[in-house]
Amino acid sequence: MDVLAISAGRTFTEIASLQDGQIRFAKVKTLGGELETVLTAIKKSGVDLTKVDQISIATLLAAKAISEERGALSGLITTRGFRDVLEIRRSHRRADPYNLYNLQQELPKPFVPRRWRKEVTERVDSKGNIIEPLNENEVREVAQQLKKEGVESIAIVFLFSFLNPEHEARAEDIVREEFPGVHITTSSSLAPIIREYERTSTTAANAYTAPLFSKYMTKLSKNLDTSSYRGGFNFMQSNGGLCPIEVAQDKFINTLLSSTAAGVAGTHYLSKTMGEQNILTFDMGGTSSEACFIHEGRSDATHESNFAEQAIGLPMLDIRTVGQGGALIVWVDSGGAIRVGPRSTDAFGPVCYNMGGQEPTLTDADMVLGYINPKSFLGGEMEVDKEAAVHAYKTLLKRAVDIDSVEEAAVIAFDVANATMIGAINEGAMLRGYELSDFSLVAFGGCGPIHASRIAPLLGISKVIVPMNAGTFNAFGLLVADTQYDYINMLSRVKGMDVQYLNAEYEEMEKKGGSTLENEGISKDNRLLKKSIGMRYALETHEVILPLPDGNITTSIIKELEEAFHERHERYYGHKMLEQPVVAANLYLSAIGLIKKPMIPQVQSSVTGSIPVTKVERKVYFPGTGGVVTPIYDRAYLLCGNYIQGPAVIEEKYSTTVVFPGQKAQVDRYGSIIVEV
Amino acid sequence: MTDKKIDLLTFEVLRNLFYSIPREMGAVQQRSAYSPHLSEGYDYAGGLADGTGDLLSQAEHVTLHLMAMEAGVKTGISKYGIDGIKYGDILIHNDPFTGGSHLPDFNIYKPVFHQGRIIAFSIARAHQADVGGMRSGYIGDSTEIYQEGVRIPAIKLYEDGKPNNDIFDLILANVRVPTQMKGDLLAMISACNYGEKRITELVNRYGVNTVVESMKRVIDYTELRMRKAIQCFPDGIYEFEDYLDGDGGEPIKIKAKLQITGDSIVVDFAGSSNQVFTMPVNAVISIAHAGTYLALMGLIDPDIQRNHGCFRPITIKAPEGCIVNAQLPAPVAGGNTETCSRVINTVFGAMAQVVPDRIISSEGDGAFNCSIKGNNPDTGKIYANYSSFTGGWSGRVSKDGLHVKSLRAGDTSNIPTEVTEVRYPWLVDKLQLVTDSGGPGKWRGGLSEEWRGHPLSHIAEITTNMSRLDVPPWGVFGGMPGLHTAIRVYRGYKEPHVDGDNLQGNKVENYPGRIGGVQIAPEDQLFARSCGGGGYGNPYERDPQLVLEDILDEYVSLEAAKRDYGVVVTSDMKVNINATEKLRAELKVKNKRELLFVDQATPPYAATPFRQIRMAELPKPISQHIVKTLKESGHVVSDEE
Repeated sequence: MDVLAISAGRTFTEIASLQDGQIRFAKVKTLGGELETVLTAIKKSGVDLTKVDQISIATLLAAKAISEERGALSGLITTRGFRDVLEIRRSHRRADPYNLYNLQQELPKPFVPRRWRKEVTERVDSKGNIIEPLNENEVREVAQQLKKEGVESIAIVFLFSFLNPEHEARAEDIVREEFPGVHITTSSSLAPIIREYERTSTTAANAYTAPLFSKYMTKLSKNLDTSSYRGGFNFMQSNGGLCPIEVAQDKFINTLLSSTAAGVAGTHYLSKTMGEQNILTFDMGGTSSEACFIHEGRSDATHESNFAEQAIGLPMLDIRTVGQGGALIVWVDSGGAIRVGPRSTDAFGPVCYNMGGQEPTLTDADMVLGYINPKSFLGGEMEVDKEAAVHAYKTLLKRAVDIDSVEEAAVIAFDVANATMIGAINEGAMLRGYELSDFSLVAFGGCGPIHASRIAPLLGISKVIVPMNAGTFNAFGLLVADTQYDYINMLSRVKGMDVQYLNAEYEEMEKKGGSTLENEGISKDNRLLKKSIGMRYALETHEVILPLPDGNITTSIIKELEEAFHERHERYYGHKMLEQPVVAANLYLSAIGLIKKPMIPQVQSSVTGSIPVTKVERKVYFPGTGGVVTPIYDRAYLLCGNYIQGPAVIEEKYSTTVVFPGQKAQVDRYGSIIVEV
Repeated sequence: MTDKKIDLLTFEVLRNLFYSIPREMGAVQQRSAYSPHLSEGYDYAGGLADGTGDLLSQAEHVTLHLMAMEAGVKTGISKYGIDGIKYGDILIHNDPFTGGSHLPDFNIYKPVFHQGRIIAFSIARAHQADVGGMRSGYIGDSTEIYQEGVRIPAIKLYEDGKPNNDIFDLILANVRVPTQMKGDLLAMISACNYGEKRITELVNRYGVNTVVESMKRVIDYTELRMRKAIQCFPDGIYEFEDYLDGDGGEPIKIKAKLQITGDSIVVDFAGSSNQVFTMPVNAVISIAHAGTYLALMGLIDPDIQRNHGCFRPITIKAPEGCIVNAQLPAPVAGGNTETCSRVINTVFGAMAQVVPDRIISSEGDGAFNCSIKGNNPDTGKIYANYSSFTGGWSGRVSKDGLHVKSLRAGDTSNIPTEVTEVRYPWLVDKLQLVTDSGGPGKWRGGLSEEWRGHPLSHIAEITTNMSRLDVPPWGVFGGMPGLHTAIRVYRGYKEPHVDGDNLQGNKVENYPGRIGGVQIAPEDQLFARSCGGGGYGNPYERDPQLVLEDILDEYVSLEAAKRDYGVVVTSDMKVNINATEKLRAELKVKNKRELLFVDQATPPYAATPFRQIRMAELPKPISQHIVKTLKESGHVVSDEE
């Protein structure tokens, strides 16, 4: 099967094509809207669309609509008395350390303005019983009002609908009758989770973004029709799995973390090939740095997340934003210390891009330090101005205290950014109870392999892996991802670990998952249903999630689970309470449709330990060393078994790998650079 | 590069790590705490102090916890002596009169040793849902500290790495839900252990001298930035008074005199009311510190890293026995919430004369705490729930206030209705923003929230500590007050419970803010409404289009738009420009709002008119400074009578 994969990024868009078993990559600067971006990318790929079976896309539409507050006009229908849940939020300020004391703090607007949040009479109690029937006339009335107001999309969220979806389903039918054609999202079908703010926010986020996708798809199909494209479309979801158009249309908010999730999917595949069990992914690009743990072969997932200060409660990869990437602004605070972020130069880009940016950024620091080669940026396709970066740091120097040279200022900016990311990664590891020394770090994205070998030792990680085509690794991920749907079942009866009850509930979920895969035409052999269970002490509110073996649950499995729970609880939280009853809180199921994946291409072998030849050298600055004349290698010529002693810089078409003084690097048969730090 | 430069790099790395460790410690507490107040409400903090107990860094979800950590650690040091605190010890403390704040706030801390020497302290602080005493959770009617729960001086909860089970037993025997508290205490201990582990890792990696020296530099650096910022303020003496509701009697005064000289500030609370024994609104001195620093950090530069260096340029004085320096055996349960908020407002009022373009007047102002206790008919066991409401943020120099957000309570969260109903035998009838609760102004105050609910199949007991019922949040520079707080019980309710105001025949009981043990039956309904944020600037100067938007979103009613903003809207919901201009011209002459500094009197926002301060009542140089600064920010004000 021939596939074209496009991963849209805020700064750059990555392209991978799989044709006749051959994988090719390209990367372009992102300009204009996503439709333009995708069309440009298709053109750039040079593939003949008539021969392509599948276009897989990692989209930024939802993410951009939310962070730029430019979503669809949306309405909300909710339980009488609770229309302001969306705006009151949890009454907290989602404050970072700066904003906690910031008297001028602003928060993003709610997805639905108050005037379009409508209440109807109905009520379900905490046991799932209907204690006030749905007033259908009121639903009709508010549907008509919203129709008159011209909303494009409606979210329906009632209290306790995750226990009893009856009212939401009925309200959906009525709205369909009164307001045909409007996009409808019910919370019980999208995100059947407890906590009304988080559920409302998630449902409203879907209502807010889904109509944008419909418009985009219409235009995209029209455009591609003229190129005689007859294949299908797949979209990357935040859970690391692909889904077809129909699903994306319905639950578009599931694509929120599309491109980063693609990178994690790529890493997951690579780590399996390499036989690595514990991986920390580190994706650093122009505007963000993201990290995700793969532990014992499973990517970490969550259903409690936040995006642009809005709660999103969907099963997704537990991707932590650990920094803002190369576009972070470097500045001097009132005491003269160099600081990095949290502001970033979204509109203009780094100074060296010559697009109007005036304030020095992290990417400019990489340029000043000699990590990035100005002559071959984006494969030589984009001109960058090193002098402008140097000049920006010179200006910075005037306000900084105790710093004598631009290189010194840049190296401090480099390490301050690293320290921030280290803190965020440590926090993530803590929340999961991981020892970072058990992990290898896989670095990709344009900037990831520059920073990775510097942060790894400070995290206690001793091995950094930089895969081939690190600068287009997200697009690669799209080629090797499976289809995946996640189901969550919040138990209405919090019981002990009742075997019969649990088996019955799982059976129901497996039926649902299996039939979804079947409907998509996935053959029985390629269907995979993976169960896991969220357990907690009866009195706690947060859970520990443990994987379950295939097949029915038995008493002996329960016993093992309970033992594993106490052990895991102690590991995560530092204590266990053997005398406390353990309950099953949530049941999870991932329904996976396996696709046939391309082999990762291998590079030619050389004698193990052979040192590659290079004639190129340049002066590069490293933390603690000053300028060092450093060999520069072209990655395209590296062979399996090659050995490189740091300091060294290895240039690839769309990314650069830095090996710091004292570190050693080796090339494996897939061309991955393995840095021992 | 020289050695000094390498140090600078390491220092920058360490500086950042010092601040991320407490956040990681906070995560430990959040994930493993038992009570929803911690796991859902986030009323906890993690922090580090240096080897002398000086605060090094803190990740606070609750800004109030900021100062109290250091005071707690220093109490332990002065009791045992630094040599009396041994490796493997963990100390616990909550006594308000020896550096604590109020009894529910437990401070647990652990020394971090290196080769026999204490180089740091790892600190966890969290609000406990119930600490025994006369009422479950919150107390609104205590008259001396002994009624408020178990009082713990600085003592050793662990010695030589082993738990002192007698102390655990003693504490747990004094509280209503011991399993819950035990889980919460273990979560705090886990956080302390985690902080100790991380500091030890840093010492192993960077060397003890580098780490200890960096701690000192981080604190010194904060002091440097504080002093530089304070130096930009005009020298002078700035005074302000704000008030607590007096429960029927005279309001209780908090008076602050700020003296700014060069790069330091002296804040003196002399002239404040004496401590009272009729209700638990006394604050101990650590609260006066917390409120003052909190207000000043927001105004000076919120970017400055919070640590002991913040405290050095600021001196705080309060006469012993006054409302903000209460002495044994004064009841202090509400000092943390109600009185701390008022300390913040008082400092804001004084600083409004220094940086009128940076201040806010209210911030989710006041205390809106509510504890519910009862016997759960499903389980037959006692339950105790503690929840809090939040008011509106005031209008600001160039933007409206946030709805239902608090500075003092920081990032604490409400408890979701669904979690409340799953865990407690209650039904929540309503949680909504209150139309017309934000004080009108050129920039409107944020809206408050209204909560209604009732118990299921049992009689429950309510204890509250709410404020701003009599003395509303002030509007500033012509802005009007935010709508006052209210607490009521609707008796003998008939179904449905939802909209009580419209139902005939039921009895409404209005309560003062602090009540203890009021009983409520399934057929009753509890009503609690927080206060709105005060307005900023003259409401007649507000863009009529913004008023129209507020009307469409029902933040402001048509009636209030006309009355308070002078905005007239046509029947097809457009601004009637001519009628608006005419009405505004009349109102400007009649009400002269541009001459007002502070307004706590305009009805219906004030239940009964309290006071107004006119610009002309301020010393001339100060009013001139205010007028000049505000004009530069696009406001119309006047100091001429």
